Amino acid sequence: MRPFLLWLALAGATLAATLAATRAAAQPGPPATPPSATAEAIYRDAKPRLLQIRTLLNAASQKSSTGSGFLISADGLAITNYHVVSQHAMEPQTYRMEYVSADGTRGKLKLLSFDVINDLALVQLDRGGWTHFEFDPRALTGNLPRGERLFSLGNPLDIGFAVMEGNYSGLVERSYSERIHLSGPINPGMSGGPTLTAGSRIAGVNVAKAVFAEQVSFLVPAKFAAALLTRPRLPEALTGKLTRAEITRQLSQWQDGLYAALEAKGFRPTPNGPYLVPESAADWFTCGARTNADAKPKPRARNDSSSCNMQNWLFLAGDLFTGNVRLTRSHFKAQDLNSFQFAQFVSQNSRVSGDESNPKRFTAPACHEDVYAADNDGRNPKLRVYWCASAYRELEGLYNTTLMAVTQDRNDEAVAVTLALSGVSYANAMRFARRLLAELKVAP
Amino acid sequence: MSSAVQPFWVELLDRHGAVVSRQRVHDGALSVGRGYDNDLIIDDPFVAPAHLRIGYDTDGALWIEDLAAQPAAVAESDSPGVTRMLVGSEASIRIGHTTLRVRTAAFTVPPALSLRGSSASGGYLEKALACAAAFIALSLLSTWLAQTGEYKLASYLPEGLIFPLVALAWAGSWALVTRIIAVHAQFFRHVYIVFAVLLVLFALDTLADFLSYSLAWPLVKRWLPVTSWIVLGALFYAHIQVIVPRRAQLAAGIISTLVVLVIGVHISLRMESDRAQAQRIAAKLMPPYLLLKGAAAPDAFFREVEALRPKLEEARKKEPASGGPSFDDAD
Repeated sequence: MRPFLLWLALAGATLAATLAATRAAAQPGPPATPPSATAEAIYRDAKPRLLQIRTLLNAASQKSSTGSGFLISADGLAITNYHVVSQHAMEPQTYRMEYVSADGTRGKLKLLSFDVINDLALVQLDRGGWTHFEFDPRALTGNLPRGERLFSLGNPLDIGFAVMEGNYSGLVERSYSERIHLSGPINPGMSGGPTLTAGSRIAGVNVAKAVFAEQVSFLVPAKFAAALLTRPRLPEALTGKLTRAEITRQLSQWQDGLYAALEAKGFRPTPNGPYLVPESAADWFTCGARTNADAKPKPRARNDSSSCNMQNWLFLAGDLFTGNVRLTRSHFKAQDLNSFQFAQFVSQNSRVSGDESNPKRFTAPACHEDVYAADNDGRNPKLRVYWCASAYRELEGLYNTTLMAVTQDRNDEAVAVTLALSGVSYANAMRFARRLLAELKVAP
Repeated sequence: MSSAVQPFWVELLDRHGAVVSRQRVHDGALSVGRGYDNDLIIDDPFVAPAHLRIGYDTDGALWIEDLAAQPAAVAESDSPGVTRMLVGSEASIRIGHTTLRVRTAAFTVPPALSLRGSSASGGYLEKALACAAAFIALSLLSTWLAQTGEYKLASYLPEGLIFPLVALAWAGSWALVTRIIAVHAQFFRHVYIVFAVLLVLFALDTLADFLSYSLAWPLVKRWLPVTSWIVLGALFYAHIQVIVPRRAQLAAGIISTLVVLVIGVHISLRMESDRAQAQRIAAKLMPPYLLLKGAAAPDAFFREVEALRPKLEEARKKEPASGGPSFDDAD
């Protein structure tokens, strides 16, 4: 499953097409409204502190992707998104980085540290003597008022530095990771650029926008960028192996916190026919329900299902997202099926979904299935349980796991529960799965 | 010389062992060769002008003597170089490219087949009908039990009509080949063979579904196709056995070699694909009352789950089967 967020680094290959489309749209359009006086002042003031950050293919010296960044110290420390520098971080022998400042000067960049959880990276420019930004103290403590005017800067579509206006709409609600909800536009290429308060101070870092929505954008809160400055630095001679070990360390730590938090929140029993099906009591999930009740021709068994998704995707590489939790349940009830036909119906509608797994990134899954009885207090139905896990090739100790359980105590009614975890330690996955199975009960 | 010499028959056989012509010998001796001074003339360029003598010796035993300059008459079951051999009831003799058989009047033939009951089809009509009916009934039943959508007559068409017709066509082709090579088509015997094999395949498939569900042995379902190759080999063997019963051993040898090869290829391809992609085959669910295996306790189940981890760890360290190298640095 792919996330509904668009990470805003600009891949080089798509640039020409994007530009052509943009130009075609721009020519017959109405004249642009002049920016507000504040925006004008902010743009003038910010421009020398902005950077475009490019990832180049070493062999060809060709641009592979571009994003934005901003200076936070006179001696050339700058902040951008992890996803802007991810190619270089994962494969430093294949990709290198360079910056282009507003006056057109170019230079080399060095990766000092990164935070994959919050999608941030700290880079060092090859020279000093820069003017730079300061963090907004209200942003650092999370005290910006809702509705406050904010200004996002960056180099959208690689066509030049730009300022765009939006409003602070608080933190994204019902989300495990902390993100600022910005009501305003940000565009591909602006990733890693700053979003400023009217006083030209950092409120957050541009990171993503919602795909099926207008002017719903996301920022990394300023406090994570400030925290990045105090992190231990990566070694001088960077190798892919070192970066991957650091990514693994950060992810392992993060998922420990996530699963501890999920377990602490516990499960909420949801009645489904004679069963009580566990749903996470944490409100970090986006859920959707479906039924076949109104299907034509009239179905011979009911299938009411719901799927809850944490939408917690962390960007590791262009083809590697991780960190998500998905919990689905289906309630099946035979209406005009005998026991064999009903069993077949349940089989057809509760397949262990095969997430497309890239053999470059993951091992082939290893699976186990058995008849299972949790037998807590005599109220756990007999289950058929399937478990599949595949290991991340580059991230030692992290796995994608899928658990599916189908109740096996009735000939005409059943519940299937699926738990899909990505980027999880084996121990956490097993503990969480076992906890879930224990909570699947028959109503008293 | 005894006056009461028993007459004997010399039969010329085709390459499948069927009699092409036979000659009765009254006076106790027969010469065989390509020359016109022989009693039996054979137009085979590999046969000597005077090749064989067949006759009784003084003890009353029937002998075949090779007169050819180079010993060329070889009893099929004997080694070359023998110039005299005692005639048995079944042994045939090859001279050049020609096969002969010598039988005395004392040779006993099997009793006549009854015209009632096992008629011209040799009892295979009944067997064929029984197997076909059983196969069609069972596969229609399994289609019905798997039908979860709208009732449609069309969904029974493959099992009810198309598969049986294909099986009949298959049996028909074998019967045609049999007719060409061995005179009698034996159509119903071929029909019986094909439906018997279909029944066995159906039974294996059902058994595999049952075991993988009922005893939680998903591997049975994964490796079933391997056993199907053996059944297919048996199918070919049975058909060939009808056509050339005398070559049955050879056929068995060739077919088992092929089956072993195919199974080898099958297993290696399966291993390859297991390494490369997802194997998420889960058992087909059946009604819970068919569950024979007792439920595993959480501790036992998760012990098995935990046991997968070292396998994944090992797989992680190996290069991916496809998709190219993922690491750019050699360290």
